[in-house]
Amino acid sequence: MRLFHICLFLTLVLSLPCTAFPDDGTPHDRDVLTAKEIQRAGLTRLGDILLLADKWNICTIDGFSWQASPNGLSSFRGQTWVVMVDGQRMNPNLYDSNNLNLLPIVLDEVDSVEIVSSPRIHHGEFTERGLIHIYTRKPAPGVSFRGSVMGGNETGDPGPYRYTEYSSPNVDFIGPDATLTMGYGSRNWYVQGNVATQVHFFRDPAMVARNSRILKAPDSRALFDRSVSTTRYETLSFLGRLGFDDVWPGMRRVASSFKAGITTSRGKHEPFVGYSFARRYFLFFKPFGREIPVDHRLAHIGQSGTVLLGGDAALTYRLTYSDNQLDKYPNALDVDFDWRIKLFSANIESDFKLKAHRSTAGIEFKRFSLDTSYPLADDAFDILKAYGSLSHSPFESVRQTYGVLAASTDDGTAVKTFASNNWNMNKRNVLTTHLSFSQRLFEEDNSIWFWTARGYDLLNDQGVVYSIAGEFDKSEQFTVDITWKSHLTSDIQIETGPLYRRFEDTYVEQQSFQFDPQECSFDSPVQILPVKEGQLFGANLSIQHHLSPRLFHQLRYGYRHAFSGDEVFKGIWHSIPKHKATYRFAYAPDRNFRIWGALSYTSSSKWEEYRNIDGQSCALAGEAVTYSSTVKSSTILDLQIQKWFWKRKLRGDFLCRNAWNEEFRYHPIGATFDLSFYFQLKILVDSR
Amino acid sequence: MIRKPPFFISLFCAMLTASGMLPGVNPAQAGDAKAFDSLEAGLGYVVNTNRNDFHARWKPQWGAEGFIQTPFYYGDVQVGIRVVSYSRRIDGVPDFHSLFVSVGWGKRWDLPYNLEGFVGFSVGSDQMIFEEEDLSGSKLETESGTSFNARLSYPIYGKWAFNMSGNYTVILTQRRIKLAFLSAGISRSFSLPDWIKEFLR
Repeated sequence: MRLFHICLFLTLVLSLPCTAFPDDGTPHDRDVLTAKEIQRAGLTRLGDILLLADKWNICTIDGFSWQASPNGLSSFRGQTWVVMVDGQRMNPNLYDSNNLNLLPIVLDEVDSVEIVSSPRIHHGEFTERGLIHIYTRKPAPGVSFRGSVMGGNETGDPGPYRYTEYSSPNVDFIGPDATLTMGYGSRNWYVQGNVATQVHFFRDPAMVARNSRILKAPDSRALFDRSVSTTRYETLSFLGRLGFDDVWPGMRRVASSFKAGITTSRGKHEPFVGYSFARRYFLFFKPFGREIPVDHRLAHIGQSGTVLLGGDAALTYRLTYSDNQLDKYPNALDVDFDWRIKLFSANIESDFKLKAHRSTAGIEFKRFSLDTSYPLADDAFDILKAYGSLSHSPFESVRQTYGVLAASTDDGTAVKTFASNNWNMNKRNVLTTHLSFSQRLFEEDNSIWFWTARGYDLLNDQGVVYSIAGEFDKSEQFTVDITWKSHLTSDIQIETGPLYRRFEDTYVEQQSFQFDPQECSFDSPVQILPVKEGQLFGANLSIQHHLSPRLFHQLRYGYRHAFSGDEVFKGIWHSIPKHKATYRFAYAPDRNFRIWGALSYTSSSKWEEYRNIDGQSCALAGEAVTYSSTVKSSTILDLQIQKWFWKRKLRGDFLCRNAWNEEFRYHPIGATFDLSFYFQLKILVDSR
Repeated sequence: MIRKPPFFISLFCAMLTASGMLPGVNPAQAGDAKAFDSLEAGLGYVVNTNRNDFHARWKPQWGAEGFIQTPFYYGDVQVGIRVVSYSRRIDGVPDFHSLFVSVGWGKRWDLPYNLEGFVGFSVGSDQMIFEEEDLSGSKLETESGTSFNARLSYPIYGKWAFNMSGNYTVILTQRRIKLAFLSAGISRSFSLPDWIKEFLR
């Protein structure tokens, strides 16, 4: 805490040399992806939003479930960053997974995305592990209709050589995904609903052996000959492709959501209901070292709104309930997660504005409960939060915001605070200093270890050896983010600055995987170890340049380095690439035609947990995959061509990923993503 | 590690640069108002001329190709289809027909002697239809491919022209299939109805 106070003092001191220029209103402590950026950026699924979160490091095993390290706030372990949709907290978390692709909304609905990469209070959540807030678009006045189909092909099929000694496994089609959104907008109200179907195969050579064996596949050869299932697919429509054979490591998902909104002179109110069902979703469960097929259900119902109190005062309320369930899908290991986590949350927040001051205060009640047949010491726990923030301008060129949140459970209270100072140095330059100190209760992670301690005995049932060293206690985190943002000219914008993170009394899961050649999977006992202290340094750089109204390009760079801490801490951060750089351009020779490209460099990473698998290989149907604990550096080029037709009612996107066909993967035991082509067709019709 | 030469990407970038679509181009020029004004459709006879490891197993037979081409905001876009049959040279492999459907972009050039040149690249999908089923009972296989093509046209009567073209295609199977084609045929130009222009623009 003393360190925090010192830094708070420094923040205030930094605000003193101020000059008289107004705040430009730009949010300096978050990134916003606009609908235009999302539309042009070659995204095919909702989870691809993370590809645009340049301050976040990401990785995936299967190309469908992404893990993120949000701006150095946490590593790939502990996917506890918050996901919100239109002000309502969603709960797609499954153990150590936080998969945006399981949300019951579709990419076409997204209007903008706010990426919070430093700790602050955002709609009642303290973002010490980062936050992604998706805002969906409201329907245009009258009836509107949006539909899309997406499919892709990863190259590398055997072709006619499948009849020869050069036969190789077939590479699956990507998708197809289809969405349909319909809405009606009026002056003061709207309704909108959508339905989406999705198909994804978990059959890259790196994982096909373990994933097919757990499905009790009778003939591994047949698994590589897509045609068995393909033939069935081709006789079915996109929306009707709901029955494919039982030994195919693929997932089908159906999702639907409905939302409405009404605006009156006294405020606005927005209900949202969503449901997602994924049949045979392959959930990577790290204690088992492999994917387990499950049937996953996610239901969400929420109501949020604002009541205007007159003047510049308002009350905001949020009520949400979500139900996140893992059902058993028949599998060779007979794993049944028997897991149904429910989250109820009620929040009320007041917002007052007075001249240059703005204050927010709120309280929140949250109840997590677990339905399982395992006898639990207690099947629910509550978190009560109280929070407030104050934003003011002591001088015309300075905007300061302070916030504090207290989260309380039966076992203790955690205090989370932040202080932010925006100094408009002159018309072109802004310096932002952002400090935070936060404690985090063990319960807040809602982890499997918390529930295991309460009696959820899946790990023992499945023979997973685990040990817990020490007591779980509150962890602490101190962060500093300094950002200088400058409009060098009207066309060039630069943003850069260092970041610092200090973690204390955290806990980590430590594993040392061994290769199981029979299953082509990985086993390891699990140790839960306390980490006394660790420190991280990093930096971000962003340069954006509008070369002309038709040509835009940007360069983003991020650096992360754990410079202090024990071997466990440093080992974890070795799995995060030190360097990440992305160059993007968008060129629109015409309003209805656009070319977009991204050249991304990621430095190598070392995954200590997998050091024993180096050189191990898995062979199936003539193709062998060799695993390595080092993920090599990669330079990937993606290109997209986008064309509108029919007075911008119809759009075709052609996307080429990994155009150089570089051998690249994100994870030591994950898929290799070869040159792939995607095609998307979208129709957008409204009555205007 | 880069596993194959970035053939079509290099070509794409080189062509964009050469044609001025990248920085410095005059927007008014790039946003050409003549996009989709007309359409050229052509048919031709095609032969596979190269020989490599693939041809040790399959012998190319006759082939035919068709294309439609229209001015784009810069250069032309082209949709093409090519059908070629391959008969087996060795036992154990089936005959098959290849249907390559592609979409591409390229640039026309005026040449001496009333000739017109076209150079472009395309990306497409190759449907391979086999005479025999494989172990799983399938006769079909699909893979993406890229191709580079160059064409010479000579006007013969009114809107009709005689074409000769060369094409180099790489089918992106695990073991790449590299095919070179020569073709000869005719094409005709058409004006597009306004409603189609509106739709396409």
